[in-house]
Amino acid sequence: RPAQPSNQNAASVQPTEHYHPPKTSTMSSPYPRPQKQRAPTTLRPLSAELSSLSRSDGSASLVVGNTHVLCAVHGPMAPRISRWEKYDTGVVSVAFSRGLMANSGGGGSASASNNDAVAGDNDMTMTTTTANNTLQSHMKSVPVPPPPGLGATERELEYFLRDALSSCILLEKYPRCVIQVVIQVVQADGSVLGSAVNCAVLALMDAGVAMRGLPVAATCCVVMNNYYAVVEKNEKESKKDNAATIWLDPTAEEESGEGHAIVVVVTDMASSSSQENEGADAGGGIITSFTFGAPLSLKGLLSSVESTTQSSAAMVAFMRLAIEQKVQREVQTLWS
Amino acid sequence: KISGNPAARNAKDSQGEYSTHNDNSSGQEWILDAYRALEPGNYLQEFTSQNVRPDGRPFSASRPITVLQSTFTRNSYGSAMVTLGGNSNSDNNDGGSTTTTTTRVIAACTLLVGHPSPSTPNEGDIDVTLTASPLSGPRFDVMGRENGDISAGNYGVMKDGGGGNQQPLPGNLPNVVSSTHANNSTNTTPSPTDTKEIESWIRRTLRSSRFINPTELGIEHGVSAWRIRISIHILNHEGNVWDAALLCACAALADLRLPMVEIDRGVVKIVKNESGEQNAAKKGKVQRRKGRSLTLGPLPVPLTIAILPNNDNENTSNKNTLLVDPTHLEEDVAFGNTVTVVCNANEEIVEFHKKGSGSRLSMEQVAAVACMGFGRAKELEKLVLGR
Repeated sequence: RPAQPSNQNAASVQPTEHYHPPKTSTMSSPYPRPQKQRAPTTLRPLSAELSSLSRSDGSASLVVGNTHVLCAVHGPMAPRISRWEKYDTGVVSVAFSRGLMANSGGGGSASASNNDAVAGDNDMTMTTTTANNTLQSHMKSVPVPPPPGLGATERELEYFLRDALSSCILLEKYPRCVIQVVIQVVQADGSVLGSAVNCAVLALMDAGVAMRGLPVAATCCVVMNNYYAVVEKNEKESKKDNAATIWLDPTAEEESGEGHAIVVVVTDMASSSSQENEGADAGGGIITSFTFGAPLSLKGLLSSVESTTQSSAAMVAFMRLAIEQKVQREVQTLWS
Repeated sequence: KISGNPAARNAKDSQGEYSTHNDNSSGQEWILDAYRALEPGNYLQEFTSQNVRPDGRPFSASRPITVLQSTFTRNSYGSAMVTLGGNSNSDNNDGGSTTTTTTRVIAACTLLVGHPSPSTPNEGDIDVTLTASPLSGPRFDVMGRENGDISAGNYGVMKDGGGGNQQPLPGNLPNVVSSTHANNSTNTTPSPTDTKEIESWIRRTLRSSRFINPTELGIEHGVSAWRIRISIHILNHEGNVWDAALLCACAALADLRLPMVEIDRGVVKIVKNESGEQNAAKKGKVQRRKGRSLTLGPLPVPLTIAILPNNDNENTSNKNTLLVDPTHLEEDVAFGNTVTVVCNANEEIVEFHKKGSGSRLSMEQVAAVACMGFGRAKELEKLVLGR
């Protein structure tokens, strides 16, 4: 029935239960998360809606806890600027829009505009570091949570997305074409960049773009153990205890904490399922990665990369669920 | 068949033409240049398959770094110039050919006074601008954007050392043109240098590395603070501008000396002559802040490594070739697949990101890269900050 509005085809997936990946030995968690009910390895409830936009070739809306990201895919289509055109392969162009500093309501609602600091004529914001570094105050929400990416401009995030998506799209099938991916952050409450990648992948699948792999992003927050040890006990010698606490899928409050490092890792999950016996290096490695926040130790970086592979497995299962529901819905619509 | 005699002047090359290069070079060099320009991937592979790079470095060696501070004292309060590579003539007594694969970047700090945000009333800010121009390289346009079309580029040209000695040619040169090297079609995303991307990266790295303490930039609590604008310009782009730009920004900040200011009813004036006029300032409500340098935290040291897919069949244990401190040719061949790690001397990773769509990085490589970064951080902290 071609006359039906496309919303009929929108497949929305209900929130899944919290996913508990198995604990590995490298993850020690002496420090609890600010939201007490949440374990360090618990992901927030996920919910997705595909084909919600009628004018684009593919679209997806992903809600991760309080973070809400919307993505639309147009293409393959002819590039508007001939400079973008490549004769033998397609090009992915990403437009990332953060909106009007869309931050979640929790933890102070001071307007975002006072981040425009000194003589400002650009969109740069100053990180609000808490002057008081004691353990009690570090986890208080700062009045204005820093934007996703902690100061990275949209250009850098766009390139990050472009690299992550280009790695898995069969661009050779679309010479002289552009696949335009538009991301709109509706509400930001941590893990925005990772959610944007996952949302873009869902939208690409919705659009039916040929892909050779499945890039899945996972975000985690690394809290260095010795950071607080020094603060609490005020010891002169550095403990050199490089173990780190890893929190998966951080919220904005956790991301903005002092001394927290955020790591976003994109891995190709399609190749990992065929290499289950390979051991630790599942997934064939990192496609792209991004860190921001405080400095972290090598051990922290490695443990965070390891833990992200587990979180990616949950994300893949969720994506599969979303696509299955969409396909079933479409079959019913077409054949009923 | 190409003759192996390097001194064959005015000889016809295999295409029956005289070399249009200058008289001192043979037709072979002319063919080499054409090969490098038309098939950079295969050209590079000639070298990497023998475990060297075109400029003679091993894979894990970076170019020598030269940091020169206080280069622009007239118009800025702190400045620096960083050169990656570059000839030191004393090294070339043996007549090895000198290459021009030097990346050169300059940075200067200018100061503005502005209003701090209410949530951080005592903190200043840093703004970073990176510019490029056609001066930087043949593929740059007047807006500072680089053309992504590889075939339009010219790479670092090998010049003769004084005595006409040239690099030994790969032995199988006659076979090269006819043999078919597998051409990777997966990593085809072009990655010309985007200055905005590098600006953003430098800005957030400077912030998260705590290299400078923003509370030192306050002038009057809640009323005025310094805004440092670091302007970086690429003088010569021969690869790895990321590292050079960040180092240059840090060196300029290390060189920065905030001037003495007078605060007169909320208006901040820079005092030109710091030594005199001490008494005149005492009257009225004019306050003074002394000129000072910034106290510096650990230097964030970047290390960029290009990732090349390893096409050799013998060496399948390691799927990628990692080239430290890539030249422009190597960056292009890698299609922008690089991994950059910024470390400081406290063995912390300030920033880690892997770019590029065509390659994958394994955990061992991540650890290896980070360890290299730590080593480099210790060296460079000594070089730039002298401690």
